[in-house]
Amino acid sequence: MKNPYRYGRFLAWTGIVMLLGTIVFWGVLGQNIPPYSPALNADEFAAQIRQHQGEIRIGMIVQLAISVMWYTWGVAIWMVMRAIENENGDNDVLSTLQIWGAGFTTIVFIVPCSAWLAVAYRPDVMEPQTLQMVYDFGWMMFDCAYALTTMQILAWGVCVLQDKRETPLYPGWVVWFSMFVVVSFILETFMPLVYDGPFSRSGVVNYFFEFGIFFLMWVFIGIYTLKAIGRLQQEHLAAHASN
Amino acid sequence: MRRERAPAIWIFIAMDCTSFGVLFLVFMYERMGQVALFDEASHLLNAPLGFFNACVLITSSWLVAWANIVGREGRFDEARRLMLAGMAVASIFLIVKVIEYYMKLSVGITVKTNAFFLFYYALTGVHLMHYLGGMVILAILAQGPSPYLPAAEAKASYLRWLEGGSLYWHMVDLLWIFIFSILYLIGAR
Repeated sequence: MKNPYRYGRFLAWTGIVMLLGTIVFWGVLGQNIPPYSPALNADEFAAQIRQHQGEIRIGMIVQLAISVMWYTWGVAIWMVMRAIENENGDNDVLSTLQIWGAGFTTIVFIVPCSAWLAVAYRPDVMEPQTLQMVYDFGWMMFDCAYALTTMQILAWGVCVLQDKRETPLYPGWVVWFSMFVVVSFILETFMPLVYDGPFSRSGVVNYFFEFGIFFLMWVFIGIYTLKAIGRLQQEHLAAHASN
Repeated sequence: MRRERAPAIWIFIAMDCTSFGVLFLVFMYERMGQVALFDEASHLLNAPLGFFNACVLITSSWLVAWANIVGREGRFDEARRLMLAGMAVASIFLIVKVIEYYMKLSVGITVKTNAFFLFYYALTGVHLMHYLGGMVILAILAQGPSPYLPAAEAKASYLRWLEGGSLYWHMVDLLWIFIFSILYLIGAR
């Protein structure tokens, strides 16, 4: 008997591994809890980078390596979506959008982390303004390219809401919460327009609120994707046992 | 049959209202630090236009609620027409909003003018995105039940989405009433 969900659980775990890794390497070592305020002047900013360059370098090197897991996790989510689409006799538009969104979101991790790594590479000999510009560039992309992730999660949400199981693979509250999270990313639109206050990259709305709910969404989808792959495998085994 | 899932959209609505609630709290907090500036700036907004837009959205919401009533009675063609009427009325909101933005931008009032106008553009801009998303949802609902599903399943599914979409539209309406009150009326002479 063939297993159509082979590798699925492994891929689902990669999302959870990346989540934990991101907290440690991007967040703690990368000095991103919260990030440096755009209100700092270039000299103050450069002094911070010079002081923490070692941690930032380690954090970003590892984060660059693990960011591919957003895509591999997206493949696990894609497996669950394809199962639902096949059961409903639907085409694969939503799962295709989701997987492309996952791939593009990986780039939204990789390019900014490369910029931040470059900032920490030789800050002692670089002009503070140059360091600040490259750091800002990273945050512009990280915050404002949200539409790629929004597309991924909305496509996933619309698909899994059509799951006809008695107990759906993803509970309704997880789906609607996640769709709220990615819609609320619209607030990041205001990040490049301000240097301090709630909408800045380190502000209460555009950092603490938005990133708080984003990580919560990641936890919920991570857990339920793992469960969903397990359930699909059980369903497949049960269907073949009864045949 | 699986369990009824329509109420799960309440999670989205509750969270969305919460996020606007956070924005309102942050606005009020910022306002406490610069009351005179916020009051002075709010006088530059056109409260009658804001009120007119509230009336527009309430009327549109009423038509959408009516579509739900006739939809539950199985009169889907009538429900579709009411959805289209709701969209037509709601489109006035967009026209007024564009005029209002133009009036502000043409005299040099932008997002960078001061903290009040940052909130003005942020709150009304995010609300406008919700409005545009809502119009897309209404347009989808105005297509009626899916012809590709068995009739009974299509009708049940349509009613579930009709209810969910309408709840979302009422939220868009409700949020505008709060935004209007906070931006246009607090500090008004």
